[in-house]
Amino acid sequence: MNIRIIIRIAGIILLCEAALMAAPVIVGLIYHEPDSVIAFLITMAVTAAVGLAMFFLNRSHGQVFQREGFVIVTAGWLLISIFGCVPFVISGSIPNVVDAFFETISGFTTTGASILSDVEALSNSMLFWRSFTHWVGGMGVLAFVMILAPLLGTRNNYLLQAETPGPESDKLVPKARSTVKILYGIYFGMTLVLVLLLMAGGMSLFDSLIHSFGTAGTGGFSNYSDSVGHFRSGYIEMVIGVFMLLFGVNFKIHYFLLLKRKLSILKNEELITYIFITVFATVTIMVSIFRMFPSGWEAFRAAFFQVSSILTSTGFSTANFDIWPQYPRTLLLVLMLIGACAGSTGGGFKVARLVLIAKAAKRGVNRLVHPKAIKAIRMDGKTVDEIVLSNAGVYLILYIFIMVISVVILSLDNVTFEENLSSVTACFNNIGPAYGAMGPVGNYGGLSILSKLVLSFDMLAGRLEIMPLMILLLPGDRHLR
Amino acid sequence: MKIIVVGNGKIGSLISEQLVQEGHDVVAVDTQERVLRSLQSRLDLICINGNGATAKVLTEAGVMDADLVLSVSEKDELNLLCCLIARKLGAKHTIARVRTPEYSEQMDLIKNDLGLSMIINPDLATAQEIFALLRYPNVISVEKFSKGKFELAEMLIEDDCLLTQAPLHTIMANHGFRALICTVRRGSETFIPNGDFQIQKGDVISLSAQSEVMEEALKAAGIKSRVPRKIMIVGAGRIAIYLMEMMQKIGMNPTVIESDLERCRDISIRFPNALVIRSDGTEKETLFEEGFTDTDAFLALTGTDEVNILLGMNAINYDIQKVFTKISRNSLLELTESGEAGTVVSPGRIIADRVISYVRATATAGHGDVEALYHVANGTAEVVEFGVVSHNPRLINIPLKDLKLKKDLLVCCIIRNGKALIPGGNDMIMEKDHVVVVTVNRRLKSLDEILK
Repeated sequence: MNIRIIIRIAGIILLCEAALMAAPVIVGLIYHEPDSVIAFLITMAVTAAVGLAMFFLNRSHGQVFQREGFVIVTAGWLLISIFGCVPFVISGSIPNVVDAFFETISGFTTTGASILSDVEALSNSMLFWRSFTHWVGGMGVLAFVMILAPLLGTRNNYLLQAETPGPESDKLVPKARSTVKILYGIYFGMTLVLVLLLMAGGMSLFDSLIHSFGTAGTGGFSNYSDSVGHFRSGYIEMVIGVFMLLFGVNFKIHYFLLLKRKLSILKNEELITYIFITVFATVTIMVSIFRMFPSGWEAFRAAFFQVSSILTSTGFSTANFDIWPQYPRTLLLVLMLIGACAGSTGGGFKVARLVLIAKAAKRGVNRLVHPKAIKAIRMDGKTVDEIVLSNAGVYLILYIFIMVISVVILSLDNVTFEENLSSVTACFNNIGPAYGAMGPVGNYGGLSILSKLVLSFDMLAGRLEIMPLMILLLPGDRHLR
Repeated sequence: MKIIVVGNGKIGSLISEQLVQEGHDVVAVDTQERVLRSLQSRLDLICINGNGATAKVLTEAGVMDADLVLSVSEKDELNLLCCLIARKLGAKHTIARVRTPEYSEQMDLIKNDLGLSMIINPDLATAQEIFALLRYPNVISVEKFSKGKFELAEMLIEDDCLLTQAPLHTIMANHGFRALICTVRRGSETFIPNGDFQIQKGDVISLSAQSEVMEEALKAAGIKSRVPRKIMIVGAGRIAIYLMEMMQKIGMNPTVIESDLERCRDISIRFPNALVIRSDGTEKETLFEEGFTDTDAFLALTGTDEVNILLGMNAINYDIQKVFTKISRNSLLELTESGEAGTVVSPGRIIADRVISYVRATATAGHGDVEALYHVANGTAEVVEFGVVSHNPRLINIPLKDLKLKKDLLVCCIIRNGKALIPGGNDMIMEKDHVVVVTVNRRLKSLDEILK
């Protein structure tokens, strides 16, 4: 493994993070928060110094292969989370280091799981930074770095593959960097439209930025304890609900629809399944919670918003869905596991993989009846390569392993089984709120350090889709050069 | 530029790789999933699985706005069909690989009717390269410009010759030398020589001349070419056949060793003067029987790279002056250092170079008046072709010797009515001409910039 090039690129990532911290500094200056501004400035200086040192002490040029790509991605995400949590610690907003790390990694991985019991106590610049990490993490930190700095010429697609894996990697245009630019362009444009729509609904600029970041990255951090429910506005709930779903769609579809005007892309099987799941869940949940709300419209509002928020792995809430009947609670947990579309900012197992696995299972059963049958699996009219199928299977196995091991470790903390399973699910799939103490009105602050670290690992594993972290654990592949 | 490469075998993948490194948007098309997977993971490009000679696949690859479609699969017919369809669908330029010798004879016909910009024949190109290196031992490279109308040859001046005897202007005046010396590389510096310049031993010079007179010019310059007399070729594939055709024209009669009876017969019919031996080229006895030890040039051109490498290494061991080893597989190419097995010739690399220089030329065309741009002398000098569009009275219809040109700049060719002209001091640039200028360390955007 070429450790020098890894350190060098990690240095570039830190430099970019230092640059990103200029945003909360500006917010701090606007709202006259000298303590927070100083905390950010100190962190910026330290991050930039470490980044520069890592960049310049390793002048050797080497090549990035698959393995280096995976290590860089994992190390990059860990490093930005470690340095990203420093402002919280220095300013005393979140004095405990593990808590601050949990909060930051929850931000970058767009989970939105919080350890804060009183969000509103944080300064505006801290709140801004917390939500800003969602926005950056949503589209990918390395992808962001790639726009700022042309990393490594032609070899950078290993990095992109490692960060945005999905079942099948599709570039929109031949160059990785151009693809990233297009994706970030769409992302930025959609975020901007959302900000304007929210402001039109009466939100302040600051609130609308915070909630747009949370929606765009499908993160879910809000600056109010009662999340989006705080605004008590049907308009805002519908706008955010629809946009969460939009950000949960594969960006390839946005690209072809918005920029290429190709309507045939709407026949995409994943998209159809995704819409079907949304409609089915919304309707059935609405029926089951109908009696809890004064009118049908309000029941629909609550059901639609919660389905959209959970399926896309955002984790905003307008109502405490933890007190809903068992059917919606169970269904929401299932939606957590499914997640959004591949190639979106959302987390979870991804609808595309689910469709693939279902097709493979159907073929497996079919094979019992016709043992000699050869049948290729097709998706969107194209044959799916057997390696892609096998990878989806491997992913499912690892997904279950990690869930099981995490649940077992968390049980040491003596939480109820429901809290345990739901919080592992909510973190691993980058949702945020779970049930019980970690529910929409609760937080993760009460857990032990071990549990918090395990959940942090789950969040990262979920965001990077497991494989990059597994490479680090493979014994034979850690040789350093 | 947006480029589609259809067929990503040995040659195609090498071309794709180079194009990506040059910064182009490349879409690779192939029917083999395995090939595409390796490309996709190594290079920054998009891969499409399918038959490139179908409108569906080409459309998916974005042929409508493609600047160039290269079809370089193994099959000539598929390549031609692919280019034809690509043209119909709106590709700006197409290049086809056509390797069958019978087809190559009707190249011009095919080229015009199918609207191809260029036809590449790896075997022919390899044969040309070997032939040039055999004939002009000192020539480092020969580049063709203005659609092959004139050439620029780079060579090392190893011994004293006509060129080293006097300053350039006396040579030009007294000997009727019909080529122009464009650049001189001495040590790490590159100059554009003026009339007082005197060439020394050890310089690397580039000469421009019309394609027809290049040989004559080299001869007149007294650059000795030790043409090898006894040549031995092992393996009578397509490259060997093209090569022997060229040799036959100048009366070289090689010994050919080939194990396939049919091929031997075919060759003996085509080339009555060649000595055709039917045997396995790796048998030492046969080699020695046929005078291996006193051959001047040994060419290992069998279909198997490994055999070629071993044959080449063996020939080097016996101190044969010129050894050429053909290596097709890219992986072996990277493992074999030139010298160990003689001069390594790779059809893929030769073709990739040609394609790249074509792409560079088209990519730069259309910026200002620049029609084409090439790099020579290790990239230190630029050769730029301009179309004359200006009516600048300080430039047009004035004898070159009266023009106030910038330093380090030379008008090395004027193309008038489709004919190349190596200009002297009394020639003038006229309207509708094409002018080729060579410069050092300068980016010219329009022809007017050559004036002070």
